[in-house]
Amino acid sequence: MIRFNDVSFSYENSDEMAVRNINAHIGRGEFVGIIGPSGAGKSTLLSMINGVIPHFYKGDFYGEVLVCGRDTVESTCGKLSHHVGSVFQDPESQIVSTVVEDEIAFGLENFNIPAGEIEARLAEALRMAGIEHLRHESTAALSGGQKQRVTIAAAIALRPEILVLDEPTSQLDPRGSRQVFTTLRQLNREYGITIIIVEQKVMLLSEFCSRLMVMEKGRIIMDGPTRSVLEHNDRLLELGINCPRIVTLTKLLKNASLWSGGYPVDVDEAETVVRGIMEGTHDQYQEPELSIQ
Amino acid sequence: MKQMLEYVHGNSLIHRLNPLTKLIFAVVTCVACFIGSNHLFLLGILLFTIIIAGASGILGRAAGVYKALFILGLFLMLFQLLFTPQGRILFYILPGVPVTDIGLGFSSLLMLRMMAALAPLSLMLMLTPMNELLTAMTHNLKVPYRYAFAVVTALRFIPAFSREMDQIMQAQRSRGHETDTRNPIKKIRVIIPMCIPLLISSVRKVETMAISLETRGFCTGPRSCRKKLGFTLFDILAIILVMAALPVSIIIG
Ligand SMILES: Nc1ncnc2c1ncn2[C@@H]1O[C@H](COP(=O)(O)OP(=O)(O)OP(=O)(O)O)[C@@H](O)[C@H]1O
Ligand SMILES: [Mg+2]
Repeated sequence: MIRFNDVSFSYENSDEMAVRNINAHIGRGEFVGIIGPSGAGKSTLLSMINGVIPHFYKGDFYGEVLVCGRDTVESTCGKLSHHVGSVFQDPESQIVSTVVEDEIAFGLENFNIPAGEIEARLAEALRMAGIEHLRHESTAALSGGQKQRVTIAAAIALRPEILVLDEPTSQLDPRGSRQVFTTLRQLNREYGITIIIVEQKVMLLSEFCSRLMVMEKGRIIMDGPTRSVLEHNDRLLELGINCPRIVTLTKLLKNASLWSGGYPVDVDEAETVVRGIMEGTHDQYQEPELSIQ
Repeated sequence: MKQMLEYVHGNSLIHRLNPLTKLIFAVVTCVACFIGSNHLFLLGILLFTIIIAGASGILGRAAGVYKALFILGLFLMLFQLLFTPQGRILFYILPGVPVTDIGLGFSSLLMLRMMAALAPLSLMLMLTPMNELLTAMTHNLKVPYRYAFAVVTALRFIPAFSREMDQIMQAQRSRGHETDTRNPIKKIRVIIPMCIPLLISSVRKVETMAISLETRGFCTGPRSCRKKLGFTLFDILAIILVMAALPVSIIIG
């Protein structure tokens, strides 16, 4: 679905590569989380999927990016927008309408969707994003978190094949962030939408994503099933990424030779592990393979 | 300033008028104000706009607009007074600066005209959702969507700027900069250093917005429209009433 073939990019008037030697393939229906320190190139990587690079931000582009079989350099942002929905980092300035419902209908109208269907999709998007009560509100008067939900609703209303989201929950409380992830999971499972999300909250990533990419200084330094990536919690900690406490706990259990299986990704699994140890019958997780570049 | 151009949600009869009717109202009254040079006529128009604000239940918000227009008008009037030495001298504001009867009549007309011409425009913006305005421009007036969108977005950015300005002011104030001052010269000296962060942040905002437009299929082909806006009998009556202002302004002239 998305393929990066040895991609490097540097923004014009900058000599440093924002991303370098990216090789990755993301298949249909994957739920991929991207994490890494500030300036690692996460947003840059997303901008290559929706065509913002190289069509909006110019610079030196090496290699090729294929989205739904199309070379992004030869396509346009407008054409790619039929396949890729985007939510950007700054919720404020990506809103183009004054009223919430108009904002969500904006893209649908641009795609020439008939009025009746717009209404249905609008209602569904509002419901999924949990903002039915904000439908007639002025977008300028919303809180940061509410704005983020609006931008997410606007993206999911378009029902793209691929959804790229850049820190879409940065201004939401823990409960709100969780709701957003639950909605994304639902989209992923019910409509088979491929989801690629940049997020700092590692606990949510570990629980919801099937695959995790860790970026540092423009490179993807780890890429694999969430569980296997999390095992390298020492390396992650060096990057300033705090592992979920259940991972730290498991690490301690491993060090004490109490546990030799894989890492749990949510509290329920952790509970099973701990209970297993207490009862002395630990059935082990399979350890999937991991590639480290 | 920030309330001057922002839509105030409501469900009055006037809110529900076709946006084109409201646009016609704003443009026609504005034009009439420039044709008619009669104090009473301009005062009448001003009163008419206040009645409309009252009838649509936004008088509270509109009051701020009238106050701002009044202050602006007062400045304009004072300025005009000082530069109209013709006519019979009534009194002196300052030693050597006379106020004449012609000057007074002319400058008060200017003030009234400014207020009466701008009030309907700002009222129209407060009573029409931007999106409906956009629909009226593209569907009824056949303005290409791209340009209509640009106009409406520019209008939308004015309150956004003023909000941002407030934020920067507050930030400066919390760092101990004196920003509250009634002295206009001091005020300008306070505002100028804030223009640069404002400019930078707005350039960045516009950039993100352009990206957001591109990735949501802006102007990629034919466009559908969610709302059909119809004309009702009330629209037709309102247009006739508003149109009547034109001949009246010419007759009174
Ligand atoms: N528009 C731009 N012009 C020039 N350089 C840029 C631009 N955007 C990003 N960069 C540079 O590219 C590098 C990667 O930036 P990017 O925004 O992709 O990082 P990020 O991982 O998203 O960081 P953050 O977590 O802070 O959002 C940084 O060194 C940054 O300075
Ligand atoms: Mg970023």
